[in-house]
Amino acid sequence: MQQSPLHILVIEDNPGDYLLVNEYLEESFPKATLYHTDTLQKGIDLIEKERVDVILLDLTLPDGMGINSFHSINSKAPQVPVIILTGLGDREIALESLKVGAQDYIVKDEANPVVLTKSIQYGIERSKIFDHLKKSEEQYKYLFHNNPLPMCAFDNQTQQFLMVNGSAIEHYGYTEEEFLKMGINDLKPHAEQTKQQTTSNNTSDINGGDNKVDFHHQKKNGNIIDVEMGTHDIVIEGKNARLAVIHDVTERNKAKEQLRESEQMFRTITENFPNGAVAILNKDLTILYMAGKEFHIQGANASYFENTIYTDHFHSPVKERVQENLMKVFEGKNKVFEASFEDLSYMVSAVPLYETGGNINKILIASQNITEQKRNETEKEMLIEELTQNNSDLQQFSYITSHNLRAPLSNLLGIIKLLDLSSITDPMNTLLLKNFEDCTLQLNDTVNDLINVLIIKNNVNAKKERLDIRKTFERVVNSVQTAIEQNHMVINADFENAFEVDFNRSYLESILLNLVTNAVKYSSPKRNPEVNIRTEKTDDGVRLYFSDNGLGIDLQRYKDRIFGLYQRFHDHADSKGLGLYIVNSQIRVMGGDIDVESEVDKGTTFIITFKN
Amino acid sequence: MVNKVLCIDDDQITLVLCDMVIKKAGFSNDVITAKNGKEGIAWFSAYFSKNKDVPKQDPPQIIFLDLNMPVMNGWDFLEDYLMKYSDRLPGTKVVILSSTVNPEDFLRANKYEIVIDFINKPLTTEGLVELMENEHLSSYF
Repeated sequence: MQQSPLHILVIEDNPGDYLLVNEYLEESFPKATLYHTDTLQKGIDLIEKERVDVILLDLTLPDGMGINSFHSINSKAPQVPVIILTGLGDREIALESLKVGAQDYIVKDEANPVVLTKSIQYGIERSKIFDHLKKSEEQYKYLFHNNPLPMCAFDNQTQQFLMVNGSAIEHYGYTEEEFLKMGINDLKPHAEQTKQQTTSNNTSDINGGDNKVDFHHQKKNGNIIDVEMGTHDIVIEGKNARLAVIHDVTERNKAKEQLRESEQMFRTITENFPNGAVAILNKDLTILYMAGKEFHIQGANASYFENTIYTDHFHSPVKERVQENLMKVFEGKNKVFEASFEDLSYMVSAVPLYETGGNINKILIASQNITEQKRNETEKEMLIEELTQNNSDLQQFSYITSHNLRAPLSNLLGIIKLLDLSSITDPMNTLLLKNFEDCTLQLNDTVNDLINVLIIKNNVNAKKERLDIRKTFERVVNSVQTAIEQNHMVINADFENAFEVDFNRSYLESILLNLVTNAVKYSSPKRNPEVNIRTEKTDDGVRLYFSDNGLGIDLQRYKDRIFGLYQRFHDHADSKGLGLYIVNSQIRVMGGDIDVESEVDKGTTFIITFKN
Repeated sequence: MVNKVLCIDDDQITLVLCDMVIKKAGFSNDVITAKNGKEGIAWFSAYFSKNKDVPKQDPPQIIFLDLNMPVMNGWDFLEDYLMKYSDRLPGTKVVILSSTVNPEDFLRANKYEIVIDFINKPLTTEGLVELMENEHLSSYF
């Protein structure tokens, strides 16, 4: 039965008893090594030195009485089975010692070799099994308490917690004491707990058989978590219980949900892709996935295209062009190109789909039907072409008309210049010729004004250059010096704040000339004319204020007509209603602005904004 | 004074007036005319012809050229003249005399070296006096 001979220690102070026991032992275990001590202390000393397989212990020793002797020796060598030797009168103590861990007891007066042998052998075996059980329980406890996953055990009947591990305490935030006062159902969210009482009892899911269930738990801090619980039956302290391992799957579920949502979003986008489709192609241009609202082959749905070659859905030479473009995408370029299929036009955008390693084995393409836009665009282009042609025709027409009007007029002017009135004696003829001259000059002025307007309007690209207003103004004033002097006009010009403008030279001269001559023409007979000019810098140019003290204009009546063609506000022989129209046209064509403030019989201020 | 001028214009009245003004202003005493570009070219063609029967005239130093003319307009005349005759008459210059308002005509005139001025009709004594001050003509006056 045993591999090596037994080492048996007998602690017995009564020599007669020992003799008897020794005799039995030698008979039953002839090969065994027998140790004998007559005091407890000697026995304890011995087991510290020698290997002992079994101890036969008398409970009435000089240095140890009763159950305490067992405790003393057992605490020194808990692994060694102890068999109690006892007298007839001490049966109760012997029974008690069994409860606290002794393997067996032998009543000395009843002992014989058979009883002794059986007791020793059983004792050793039982001790081994007990040792094994104890180890396995320790391991089990270790696994339970040090498990990184929250674990607990609860009573099957009452659902009360019987034990919880450190991880559970840490995870849920309850202390061990708090846990042990709770049941497994108390972990459910408070809202669910009340609900469950009225519906089915969820604990039945937990009970019975090893299984896994998913539900929600609420931590002490109120956070609700998703859990997956694996349970199986165990017996704890004689109670039917369930051991549960709890997996917190909140994060996992959240990630799953996010993935599901983003997938959903992707599908929503692709399946509802307006006027077109999206597709994923692999390197040989096979369509791996396609979705959308409209495919370039009418009546076809997405599945028709899947696992077909993308370029096969186009005719040559579009097909080759599409292929060429898509190949560039596999080289890492983004491509946007047009592709037509029969009478439909598509705008195709293709981007590479990079893998984690940086390789491109798939590309994403999005195509949109732009047939309508293309058609509109073509129509627009045709319309523009037509309008441009019309405009050009009109322009040519106006040039020719002007020319044809000017040609005879210039002859008339030429004739007038050559006419020598002094040689005509008849006063009637002299008067007629004088009137003829006046009419001709007037016609010439009108035609020239109209032609000026025409040229400004047509000459959008008139040259801009940087001009010094001071110099231009000086030139203008010099050219009308006579009129200024005749009318005793005072001009105060202050260009200190700003004097450089980007403008057309002749336009600026024309504008200033018009303003100065207007100030002369429409001066008040009640006072000497005075003109004040000043400039100021703006964010992007120059603003010029040109004020006179003349007749003024009733702006309430004429505000919207002041810059109109052939608008006259004063009965003046020299007035044609063109000056301000031309000024306005010249400023507008240069990107500037003009405004006016005026009071009747006080004067007028023109505010011109030049954009630099 | 310029020895001889050629006026090319389809308008008879203009031609008459030019003749009068040019002489009155003392610009030149010899004014010859042509009704369009083609007639102008014909004059030079005759001038350079080998035909000895035609009496040899002096060439004009100034051509007053209108632009809008039937049969052959001013620009076409200019191109033709530059190609065929201008090399042989380096002293002859062109003055555009037109009623045009088309800005392109002014731009185009600037491109020809032979065109020394652009006068808007009518041709007047004042206009001619100004022209006399032109650097190309200073030797005549």
